[in-house]
Amino acid sequence: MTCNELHDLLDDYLDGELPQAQRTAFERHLDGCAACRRQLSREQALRADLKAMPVPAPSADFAERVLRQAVESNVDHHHRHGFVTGFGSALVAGLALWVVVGLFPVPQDTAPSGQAPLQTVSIALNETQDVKLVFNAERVVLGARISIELPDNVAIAGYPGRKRLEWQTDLAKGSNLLRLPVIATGTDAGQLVAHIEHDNKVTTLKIQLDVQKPDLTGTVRLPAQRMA
Amino acid sequence: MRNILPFTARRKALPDFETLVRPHLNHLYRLAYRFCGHRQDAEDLVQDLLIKLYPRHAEVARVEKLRPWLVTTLYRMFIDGTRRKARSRLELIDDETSFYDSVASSDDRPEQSLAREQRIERMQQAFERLSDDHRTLLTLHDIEGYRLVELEEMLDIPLGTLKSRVHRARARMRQLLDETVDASPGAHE
Repeated sequence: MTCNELHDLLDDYLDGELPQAQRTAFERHLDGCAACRRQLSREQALRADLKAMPVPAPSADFAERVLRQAVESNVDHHHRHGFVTGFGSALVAGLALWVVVGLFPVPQDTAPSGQAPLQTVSIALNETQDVKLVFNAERVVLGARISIELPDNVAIAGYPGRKRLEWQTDLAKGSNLLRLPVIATGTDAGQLVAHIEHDNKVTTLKIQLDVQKPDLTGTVRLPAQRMA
Repeated sequence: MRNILPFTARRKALPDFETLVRPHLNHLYRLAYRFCGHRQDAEDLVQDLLIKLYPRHAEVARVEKLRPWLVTTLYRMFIDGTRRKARSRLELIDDETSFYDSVASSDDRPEQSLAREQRIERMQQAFERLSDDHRTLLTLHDIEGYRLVELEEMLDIPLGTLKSRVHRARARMRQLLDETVDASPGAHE
């Protein structure tokens, strides 16, 4: 093997891509050629130094922030447009169904009972989809009690047969995401009702679920604006 | 945003978007930093990627090898100009003193760690002056270790073309490094 031939194979040698026979000839040449050994050393040093260039750590809340922004940016997008048109079963399965923003504590402009206006969401039959409720809390709320009541034809994935879920949780100040993996087993329309209770105050959200057969195109209607 | 419903693993819904992508965020950030050369730009590039992918949650969940897929998407976003910085062209100064030859002599001096720091700093300066194409290819192949056959599939670039482009990227890197020798303190002591 000549020096020029070795130089042509240098990258493959360092990448570990050289066939055995060529590798043997390559190394045999190296044993007897100081110039080629220096060339190999320079190439190895270049690669080592490239790898040694430091990367500063990202900002402390990087992961949380980019994930949150990915969600919130898409919520804002859907709300600005007001609706998403056209779905097949695959699209619906991946569609982020953002529904309603519940406000807690009870806002001034809701009914005295703390009920928000009825919202409507279309979901596909026999397909699990995430219906996402975003609750904006003006302050941290500890020990809020959330309950979800489901219509007869709707279940929450992972909780077969349950028509009511109830639990206690804390709410962070700002946006709190409640992700409901709903699956409709029948085409009857029905209402999903969410109550959130704290300190003897209750906010109620009612969501009208219209169940569509997956091969129909249609409109997923989202609320035109978020409650402030 | 907090997720406040304590669902269990029994659910058959798609894996949570966060569950899918979080394990890859640090790797994506590292690549983005190498591409952009600036921490904020790198974070913004990853941010833009997630904003773009979030509505395609179902598609992301079906990807078999998610990391290379995410890397490819990040790469294409960068190359398509999402986070390009304007770079000034550098005129090559003809200088026969090799960067590595000069550093080899400086390593003999007692201040070896300082010399190494200076060498790495010059590497970074030269690296940032590479074209976007050269910098991204050296990042993916030489630094992060993606094999050329992997990159052929990820980037949809023929193997022969990839090899020659990586080769030219290294040659350009060496040229830029050799230029820094003239400007570096103590290089000719």
